[in-house]
Amino acid sequence: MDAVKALWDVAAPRLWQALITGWLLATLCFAFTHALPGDVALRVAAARIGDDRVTAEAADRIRQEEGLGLPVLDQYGAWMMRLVKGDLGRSLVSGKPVLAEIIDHGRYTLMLGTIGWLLSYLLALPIGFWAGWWPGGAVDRLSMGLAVVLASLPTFLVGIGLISAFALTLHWLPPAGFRTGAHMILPALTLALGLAAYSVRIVRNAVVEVRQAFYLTYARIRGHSATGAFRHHGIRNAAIPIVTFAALQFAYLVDGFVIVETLFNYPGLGDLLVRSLLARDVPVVVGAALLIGWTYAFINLAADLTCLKLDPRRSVRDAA
Amino acid sequence: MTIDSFHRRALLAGAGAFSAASLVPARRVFAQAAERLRVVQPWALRSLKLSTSGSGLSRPGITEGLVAVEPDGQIAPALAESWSASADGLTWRFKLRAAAIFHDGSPVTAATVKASFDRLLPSALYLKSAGIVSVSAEPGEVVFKLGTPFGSFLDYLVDYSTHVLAPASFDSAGEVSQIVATGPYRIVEADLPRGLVLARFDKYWGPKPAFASASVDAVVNGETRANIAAAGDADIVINVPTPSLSRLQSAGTARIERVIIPRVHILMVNCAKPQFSDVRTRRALNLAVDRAGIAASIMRNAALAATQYLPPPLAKWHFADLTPHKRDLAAANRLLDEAGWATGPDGIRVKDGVKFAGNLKTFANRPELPVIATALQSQLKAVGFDLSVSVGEWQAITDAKRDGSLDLALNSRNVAIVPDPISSLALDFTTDNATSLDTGATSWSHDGLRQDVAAYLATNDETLRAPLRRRIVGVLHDELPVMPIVWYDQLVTVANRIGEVPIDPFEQRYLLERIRTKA
Repeated sequence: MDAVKALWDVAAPRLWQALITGWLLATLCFAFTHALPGDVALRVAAARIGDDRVTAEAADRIRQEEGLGLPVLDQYGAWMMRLVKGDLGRSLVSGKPVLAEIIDHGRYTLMLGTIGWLLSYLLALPIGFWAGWWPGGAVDRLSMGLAVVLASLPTFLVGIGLISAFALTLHWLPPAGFRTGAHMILPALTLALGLAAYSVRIVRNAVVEVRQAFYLTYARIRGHSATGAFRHHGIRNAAIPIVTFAALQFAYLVDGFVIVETLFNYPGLGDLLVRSLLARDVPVVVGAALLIGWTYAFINLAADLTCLKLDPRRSVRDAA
Repeated sequence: MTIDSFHRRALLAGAGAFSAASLVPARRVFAQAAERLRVVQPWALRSLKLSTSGSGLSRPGITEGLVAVEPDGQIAPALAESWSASADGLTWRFKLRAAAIFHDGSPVTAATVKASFDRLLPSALYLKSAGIVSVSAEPGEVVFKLGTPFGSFLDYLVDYSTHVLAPASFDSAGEVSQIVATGPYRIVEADLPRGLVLARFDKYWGPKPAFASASVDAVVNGETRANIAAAGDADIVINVPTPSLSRLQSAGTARIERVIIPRVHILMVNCAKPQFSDVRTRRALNLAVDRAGIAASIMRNAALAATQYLPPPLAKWHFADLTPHKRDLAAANRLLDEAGWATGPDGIRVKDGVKFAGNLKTFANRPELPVIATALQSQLKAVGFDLSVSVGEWQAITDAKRDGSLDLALNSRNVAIVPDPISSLALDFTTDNATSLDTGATSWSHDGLRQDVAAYLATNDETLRAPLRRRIVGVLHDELPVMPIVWYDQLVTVANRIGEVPIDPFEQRYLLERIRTKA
């Protein structure tokens, strides 16, 4: 029971925060998209039938049909009423339900994000661990240098570099698209390199810190080998900052998606967001912001719960 | 061996194996079938509605109309093998092809064609302007009755928003739920808005496509399209940006085809402003523009200098006898002096306290436009005009035009949204409350032009229409409500394995059924 209560104590305030953050984020997006200069109906009409073919008549028809001529507060009220009922509305451009649009694009982003994120830890864990085990060694210094370079390069530049090397020069991989597994590799690697640049240092520092901790020295005094002591007493301690950081990196991922998906013509959420913003497809922009906000809060919650589980001190306290 | 050294080796091996795995030339693993023709286009397919996304279905040859436009601008038979118009121009009869069938195997009959028009006409984009009163089915023929004679009826009938669909395409509410059409390719997979996978329609009435399957993918970003072409990852890439030309040429994976299309980059001026209300100032500004320089250095094709409004592919509307627009600074300065614009101490002209200056709005969706804008800035300075440039969204031009704040704009106009440019000319130059929002004249009207456009639309007698065309173009050439700067050419890359590719300047069809691999 205590464990459930401890879980609830952590989760409840986070859930409230998530709800309020999501609502605030969506409201801000709603306000900002409406505050942008220009006629929403005209932009929607252009996105529906093309810049060349848009007419004032088409824009007026859309304004009428979609209620875009109503005062902004009325539109906001109507949106809130629908939201309370769990309805995110329909896209002004495609006419499809917003949730269906988000799921359709979200599955691509989820796949790319998961592969990119896993790839980043496949890189960061061994290299960071090695660098932390022998701090000041060649791997530590080399990984530090590479991490600084990669972290200071904007994502699009890393992407362009990879495209130039693997698609345009070596002709190993396609430069853009989504139809096959090969299409995933370059965008996932672009995301992974950006993520790993930071996480490799976090892993390295966590390992260094734990290796210097008194409890490991004590374990060695008790006769454990260096690796045995680390395996038994170090890994869980080192994992706490890494897990927290891994969750924080989700924010970077959202940022990265917008650029990576545009660069690689990958049809995920970032691509949907950019297109919807350009077309002033307010329901999709607001719906996507709401769901991204909630996902972010959910991942933070999951990270907190994982840390709770990992933290030996909390376990001991709960058991007492 | 110590434990430490073992770990070091294991980690090394792991890191090495991972790096190698990530660099595997996966392209061969995931290679696509060679018999598929892969097309990359800039346009995303938003829905299967013909009124909004019909061009995305007609271009790859999924849907067809009764007639089609050929690359040379001639109207050619499609589902109708022949047609005739009554002497009064009010009745048009179209004889259907007996061999035509829909993708679901059902026959194309006069009744199904009439039913398709009945469903699609209310939401038609252009054909609505033709004033169709009724569509009726007679044995083997579809008959259109018009309220008044409409000379360009065949050109308007090309309208993809009314292409013929089988009854199975519509749901019980009369909305399009799937595309069952008649073209040489049928849809196998519609992954909107990303693209389409198509299969050859083996019972097509016309020549059979060589490729059993085709994919049409939407790639909005021009540079990304150029990358795809350079990497050899598509057979045909439509509309690659001009700045990528040299990169594509050195990649050697594809050849580049260029064709001038009916698109004009135009300089718009607000004729209500004192700087532009006098035709002499418009002519002077027009004489200050160095079109040849812009075409050669920015568009990388000297043939694109817009010596008149409509480009050569619109053969009936392009006239050799017009004095070509070209730079003449002496004549420009003379006109401005005559009009009373005196040069101030800063080199900028002034008249009645009004500076000869203005803000030009343009947008970056077409990357060459901001560059052309800055070229114009320096060229117009030579006649004492102070031009400032704002780069934003294209809709900002419409907004400024609507609220009257527009000075100048650099815009791009597709002048053949209907193969006969009369459609765009009528929209852009003969309406007060412009229905075409941002490409036409601003606060300018011309009674003679309006009468000529109305007369042209009212007759299909070519002996009357030819002189009307010359008069309409002549007025625009002299009055300059908008100034053509450069025409536009479509850059299409074609992979080395592909043979000759016909390119339709009207952007109505990719003509995939005519494409073969090299022998």
